[in-house]
Amino acid sequence: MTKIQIVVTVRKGTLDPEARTIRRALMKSGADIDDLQVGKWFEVEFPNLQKEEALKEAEKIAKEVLSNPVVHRCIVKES
Amino acid sequence: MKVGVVVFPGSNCDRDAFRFMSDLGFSPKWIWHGDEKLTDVDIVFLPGGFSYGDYLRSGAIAKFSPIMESIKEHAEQGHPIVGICNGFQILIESGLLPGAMRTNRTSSFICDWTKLIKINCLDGPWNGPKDGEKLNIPIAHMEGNWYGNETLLKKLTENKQIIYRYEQDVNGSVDNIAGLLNEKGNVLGMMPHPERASSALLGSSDGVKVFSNLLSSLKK
Repeated sequence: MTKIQIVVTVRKGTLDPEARTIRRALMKSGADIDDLQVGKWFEVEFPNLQKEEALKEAEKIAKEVLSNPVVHRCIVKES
Repeated sequence: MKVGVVVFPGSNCDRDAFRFMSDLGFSPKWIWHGDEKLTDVDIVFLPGGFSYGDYLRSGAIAKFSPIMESIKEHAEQGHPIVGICNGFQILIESGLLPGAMRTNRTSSFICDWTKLIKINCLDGPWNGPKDGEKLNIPIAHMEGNWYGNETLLKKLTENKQIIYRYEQDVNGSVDNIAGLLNEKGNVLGMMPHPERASSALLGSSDGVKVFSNLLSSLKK
């Protein structure tokens, strides 16, 4: 069994109002932040795949289902 | 002419759509998202709402509904399909229309009247209103901020796939895009709700104009 983590976030340079709002709130509370990214986190368990295959499969579902590549980028790594 | 109004779990403008199409003289019928096949339907209507609770992204789960394969075939065969609001988002997620929907620039749900401008677009069932005509049609959405990069925008402009623009920027949408056609011109997606602008009593009857070429185009 291999566990893979997938993070889907809005591409840099693409407007993300949620991230902007959170950053502003944090700045108001005194934090000094240049950039902030918000994303969705998934953890997927593949019962019958070794690491390399699982990463490949995770990349596939991340691109085809979990994100819209027009506006999102995905980070895929082993848990 | 038979209009199939598709009901997904979470659709909430399906009854408005049904009533509206019936008032326009079409014969609407319900299509359940779990059905495998469209039968005896000329036009497909994907109504607004929050299919599958907007989980993952608006429209992203609905594309896996069993009925969607048959709807894709319907599109490939050149038959008319319209998606309003969540219906537009489903068409984008299914790859029937290009681009992506982002959260509104203001991060808020916008429920308001908007003024749309009809653009000189591909001829076909959706080319009803006159070019340059202004339509009063309301919007109600959180993710209607359409995005496409410059290459895509150029392509859509050259192919005359942009059918409606907001007169003013309302949600951050690139090029103020409010409605798009596919390459053949038979699939229309728009964020504003024409079915909510069906009578002067409701504030506007301009929604009727969106469908004004549909019957005659089908009879050709």
